[in-house]
Amino acid sequence: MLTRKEQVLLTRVFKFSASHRLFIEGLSDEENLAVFDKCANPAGHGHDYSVEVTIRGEIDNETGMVINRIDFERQAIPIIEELNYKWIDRDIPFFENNISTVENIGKYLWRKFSELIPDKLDHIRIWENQKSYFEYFEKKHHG
Amino acid sequence: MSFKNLITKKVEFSASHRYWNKNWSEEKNREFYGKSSLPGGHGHNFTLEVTVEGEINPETGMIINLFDLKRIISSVLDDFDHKNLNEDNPHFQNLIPTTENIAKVLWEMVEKKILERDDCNLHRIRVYETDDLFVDYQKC
Repeated sequence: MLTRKEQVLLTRVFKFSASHRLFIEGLSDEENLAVFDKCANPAGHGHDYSVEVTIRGEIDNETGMVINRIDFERQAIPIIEELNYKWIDRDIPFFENNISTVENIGKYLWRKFSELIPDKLDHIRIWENQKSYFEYFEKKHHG
Repeated sequence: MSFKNLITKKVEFSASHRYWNKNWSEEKNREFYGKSSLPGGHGHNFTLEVTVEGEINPETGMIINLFDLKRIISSVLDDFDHKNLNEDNPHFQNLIPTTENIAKVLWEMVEKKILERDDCNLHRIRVYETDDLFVDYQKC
C-alpha cells in the first residue's frame, strides 16, 4: 500500500484598487502608446486588483490550522494597504525601476509575502481584471 | 506524456462553527482565534467543490455519472448542511471545525464513497468558507 501524504493549501483573497501607467522611461508619449497602447495613457488609469495568496502547510493538531490566521491577517493587511488607493508607479519605490505590469506587481507581492511566510508561501495569483491573471511561484513545489 | 481527466461538482451548504480548543483557557482561545471563538459560534454559506479523476467511459462519455456524484455529495453533506458543526457533526467532537479540518473530513467521507466505485478516484476537495478564503485538500 502506498503511503500518501496530505497536501493542504489555504488561499486568502485580498482586494485593492490602484492607479498605474505602463511606460518606459525615456520614451515619448507616442512611443509608449505604440508599445503599451491605452495602458500608456499619460495620466494613468486604474484597476480593482484581486490577489490570491496561497499558503502550503500541514494542519496543526493543536490549532486545526495551517497558519496562525490572526497573525497572518495582521501582517498581510499592511502589505495590501500599501498599494490600496495609490498610484503604484509613483508611490511604491519598487516600481521606480520596474514597470507596473500585473507580472511585476505579482513579483513584488511574492517578495513581500515570502518575507512574511518564507516556508509556507506556495504561490501568488493576481487578477488585474476578471479576464486575466498572473501567477508567480518558485519551482520547488511545482516541478 | 500522461493526461488527467478531471471533473468538478460544486455544491453549497450552510453551517455554523466555533473555533475552540477545549484544552486552552478562554483567554488563549480568544487571543488565537479572535471572534471565531465567541461562545455562540457563527455561520457561513460554504461552497464545496469535489474534483474526481478518471478515464472517460467510451460508452457514456463521462468520468462519473454526475447524478451519482451529486448523490454521494448530498449524502455526505447531511451532517453539514444547516448544522452546528461543533454540536451536531460527530466528526468534530474531538476536532476543531476549522476550514482546513472541514476539508479534511470531507475528503475522508467523499473518498470512502468514491472508493466503492471502480470508475474514478477523488482528486481534490476545495472548501470556500467565504469568497475570500478557501482550502484545497488532497492526498497523493
